[in-house]
This record gives sequence, structure tokens and C-alpha cells, in this order.
Amino acid sequence: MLTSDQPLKNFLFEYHGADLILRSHDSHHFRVPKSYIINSSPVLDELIQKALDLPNDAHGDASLPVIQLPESGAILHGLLTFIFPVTPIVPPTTEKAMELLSVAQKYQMVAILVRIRDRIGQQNPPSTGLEPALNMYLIAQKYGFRQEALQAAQTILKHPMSIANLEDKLGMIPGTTLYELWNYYVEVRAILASDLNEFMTPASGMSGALGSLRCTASGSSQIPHWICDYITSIGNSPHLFNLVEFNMALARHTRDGGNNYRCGCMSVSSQIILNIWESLASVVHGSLKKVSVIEV
Amino acid sequence: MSSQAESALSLVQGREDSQAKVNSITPPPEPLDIPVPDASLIIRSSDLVNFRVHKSVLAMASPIFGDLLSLPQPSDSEFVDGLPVVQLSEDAELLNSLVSVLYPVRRVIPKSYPKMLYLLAACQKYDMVQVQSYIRAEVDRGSFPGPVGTEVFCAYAIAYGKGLIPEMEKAARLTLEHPMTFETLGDSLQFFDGSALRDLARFRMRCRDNLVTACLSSRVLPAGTSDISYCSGCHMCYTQQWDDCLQQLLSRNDDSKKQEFANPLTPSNICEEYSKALRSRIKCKSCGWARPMNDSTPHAGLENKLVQELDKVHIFL
Repeated sequence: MLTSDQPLKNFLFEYHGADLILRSHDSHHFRVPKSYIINSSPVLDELIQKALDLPNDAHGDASLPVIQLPESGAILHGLLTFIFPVTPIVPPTTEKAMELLSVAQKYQMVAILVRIRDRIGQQNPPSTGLEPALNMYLIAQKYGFRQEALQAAQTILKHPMSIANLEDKLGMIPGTTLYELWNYYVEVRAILASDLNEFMTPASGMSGALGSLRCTASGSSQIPHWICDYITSIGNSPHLFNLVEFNMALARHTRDGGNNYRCGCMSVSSQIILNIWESLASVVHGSLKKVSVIEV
Repeated sequence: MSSQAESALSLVQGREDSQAKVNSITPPPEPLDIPVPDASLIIRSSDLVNFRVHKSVLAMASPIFGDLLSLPQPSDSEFVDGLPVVQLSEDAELLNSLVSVLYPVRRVIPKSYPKMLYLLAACQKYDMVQVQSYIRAEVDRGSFPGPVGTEVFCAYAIAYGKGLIPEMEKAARLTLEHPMTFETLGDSLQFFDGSALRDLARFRMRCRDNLVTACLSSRVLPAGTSDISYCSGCHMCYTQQWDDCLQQLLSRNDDSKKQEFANPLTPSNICEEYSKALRSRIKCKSCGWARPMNDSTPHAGLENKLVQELDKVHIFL
């Protein structure tokens, strides 16, 4: 039961030389030196100063000043692990991890926010799956974290944005969120299409990446038609931007060309493929950076 | 706070945000010009326009207003020109239409079907059964606006959210005439709440399954043969041929699933798809009879049967 005013073992945070008690809304006590808290958060600093200005009997039976906070013991405990020199603990679920971030943000703990984000990144690398990404987007939106929302939206781009693909997940996404994601998708597509068109012009980086590759089915720009088609398809469907799709496009070209041994694509070196892919990736990532604002 | 004040307050809660979205994309209202002499009450819209009405008329149309107005006035009630004021959550444009159907004056017809749905929703909220029936009849007669084009998706979402079951069912059926893609849904997406979109997608899939099954149950056999006969050309059982075709139409691979949403889903479309499936599946010349819907001779009565099958499918199971 979490009803007692006594600290529970799970959430124990006792410091020798503590001069302050932080009390969670579910009545867990954390005895801490206030200097750590004051240096971490201007908001808590103000709260503590106000509490210290109160007459001594305002702190009740406690021997130390008590600061009542609205967060749960579990979240406060997680937060304190980032403030004090102990092993930081990130809550196990995305929802709770975002809640921890939101508390750090609320108390304006700028440095702590960075540490929590780093730790979350190490402990829970972003999933490439559609459902976790949608879930992350919803949670990030709930707490107003643009960075996480954008990261999730970029992961969602790796999947086809269609009713058929989202069908069994439609119940978990509010229409306004879908609308937001769709607008983001449309904007990304427009910028991608424009940047990729530019990329395929003769003076662009694409020509350099091709190196000695000579395809029998190339236009005046010397860029093989199959590469142009593939790049154009990314502008329409960003989820096609992955190395497997690229290699499949190459395989289709060599098969449809009847395994024409005069075509350089039949024996294209892995280095050229890597060069093409890297220059393409650079354009795509550049385009994605241009669409950074998501209404959350 | 007195119980009357609480009741009045409850009428303004749940402010219609989606209604505001509709208003932002449709033309502004026409001027409010309904004269009501000897009014006994003012109802005030969410955008602070006062409507003078008679308590007796409101009470007659709506038992909810009847109950509310029978309670004693709270001491802190607002009065304008000596008339008590009741604050409502509906905007002036909607109240203008609503008041106009309560009185023998020129009706103020909503500018669009979504706005008409909000009017129906207000009737539902205030339990104005007769007024709601009247408006529905006017929509059926074409005097009030009906859904136009892909507006049906927005109409479905609003009707779903407001619990307007007949309008929701009607709109859902009309969405079958359009592809169900994000492109088609467009701005309508923001009106979908809860499970509305998922339920619409599932409705579409159930419709397709029903239509396909109905197609396949309409077996047309050559004269003198039965289901268990074998084609003299390919030596396949006719039943097997049909079942293979059924499998092809019902196959749930990614492409067919995508097609379900990317194309309109009407009886005529399904007939065409079915015909194509038969043509591609049955290569044997002797099985030529199994092409009941080639381009020149559409299968008599099949489309009607499909329409009936479609009527059996509902949004809620």
C-alpha cells in the first residue's frame, strides 16, 4: 500500500546530512540536501525558499522542512537519480519515461533534461516499428515534446501511410493526430520530391556518385533510368527509401534488361552502390530536417 | 449554485469544437432577422448573440427546456430587457436555423450538410424529437442540404461523433462510392473521433466480403450441367473453378487489401472485378460459359442482389 507517510524501501532515498524532505503526492519521503535540488531547478529553488520562510511549526511533526510535490514517489525517485551521483534510473515504459521528462521540463531542469534524454536513448533506442512509433508520437504529443514527436513522425515515414497499412491501429489514433501526421507526410513528400528532382540534375552530386557506372538505359544526364525511377518513387512514397528497395530496383532493372552484359549495372561495384546510397541518404536526411515543425 | 443554474450551465458544457472547425471552412451565416414579439426568454449563443423566444414554444419542442424552465430562477440570473437569459453552447448560425424551424417564419436552411448534422445533433441533445424528424424529412425531400461528394467522410465522422445513427449509416454507405485514402479523407480527418475511422474501415471490408460472397453464390452454369460436373476441356469440377475464383477475390494479401481502400466499392465495381477474376482464372476455352459478366452482357439481376447484400452490412455489428 502506498498510503503511509513512511518511506517505502523501493523508493528509499535517504541522504546523510539531508536538510530537506521532498514528499510525493502518494506520501513517499525523500530526505535530501537542498543544495542539489536548488542548483538543479529554479522552480524548486523558489518553492524551497518559500517553504523555508514559513514559521517552523508549519512543517508539522517533521524535523526538517517538507516540500509537498504533486508527482508520484516513483517519478520523483527516478528524477532524483538524475540529480544525485547515483546510477540514473529510466522508467521501464515509454509513457513513464515521457512523464519523467515532463516533470524535469516542468521544474526547468535544463541539464537534467539532456541527461534523461541521453539515458532514454541508450536504454530504449527508438523502435522502427509502426505501432511503437505511433504510440511514442501520441505520448510525446500529450506531453508537448517536439523532439520526440518529430523523431516518432520520422519513424512513421518508414512505413506506408495508407488506411490499409494503418487499419488495425486506427482505433488508437485520434483523427486530429492522424490529420497532423498526414499534413506532416504531405509536406515531407513535397520537399523530398523537389530536393530529389534537384538531385537528379546533371550538375548535382548524383553524377559524381555514379563514378564509372555506364548503364545502357540512361538519359542525357547519364543517370540510369532505373535510378531516376527509384528516386522519384521516394518522393511519392518516402517509405521506399531503404537499401532493400534500392537493391530490388537494381535487380528488376538487370532482370528486365534481359541480363544485358553490356550494361554496367550488371557488374556495378559495391563501392559505387554505397556512394550512390550515401549521396541519396544525404539529400533525404537534409529534406527531413527542413520539416521540423509539428503541431503538438 | 442552484439546481437551475447548474442545469443552465450544463447546456454550455461540451462546447462544439468540431462545429467551429466546420464553420471555419464554410461561408459566414446570413443575417439574423427572426422577429419574435412578446418573447419571454432569451437564449444566447456561444458567440454571444441573443435570440428572443417564447418559453412555451421551447418547452413544447423540448422536454429538456420544459424541465429547465419550470425551475425557479436563481437569484444571480442575468436579465436583458427584463427577460431571463439562458446560455447555450451552439453558435448563432445554428440557433438561427433552430429557432426558424420552431416558428412560422422563413426557414433558415443550413449552408451545408455538416452544418445540417450539427442542427440535428442539437435537436438530439435537447430531445426535440418532432423537430428532428421534420428536419430529416426535409433532407430526404431535398429541401435541406444532403451530402455532396467526398463531404460524406466528414458527414460520417460528425454523425458518428454525435450519435446520429441514421445519418452515420447513410454516410458510411455513400463513402463506398469513393476511394478511402488519406488523400480523399483530407481535412475530414480532423473530425474523426475515437473509433470512427477504424469502424468505417472495417465496415468497408465487411461490405466487400459480403459483395464478393454474393457474386460467387450467383453461379451460372452451362445448360445441362451441375455444380459437380466436370468441364470437358480442362477436366476441372465447376465447383472447384468457382471456389478458386472466390479465393482469388477474397485473398487478403497486401495488394488486394490496398485495393479495397484505393478504389470505390460499389456493386458495379465488384461486378467488374469479379468478371476480371473469372476471365483471368478460367483460361480453358470450354469453360467460357463461366463469364457471366463480360463487357457486353452484364449478369442480369446480380447488381440488384449486391445492393441487397450491401444493405445487410452495418457500421455496428
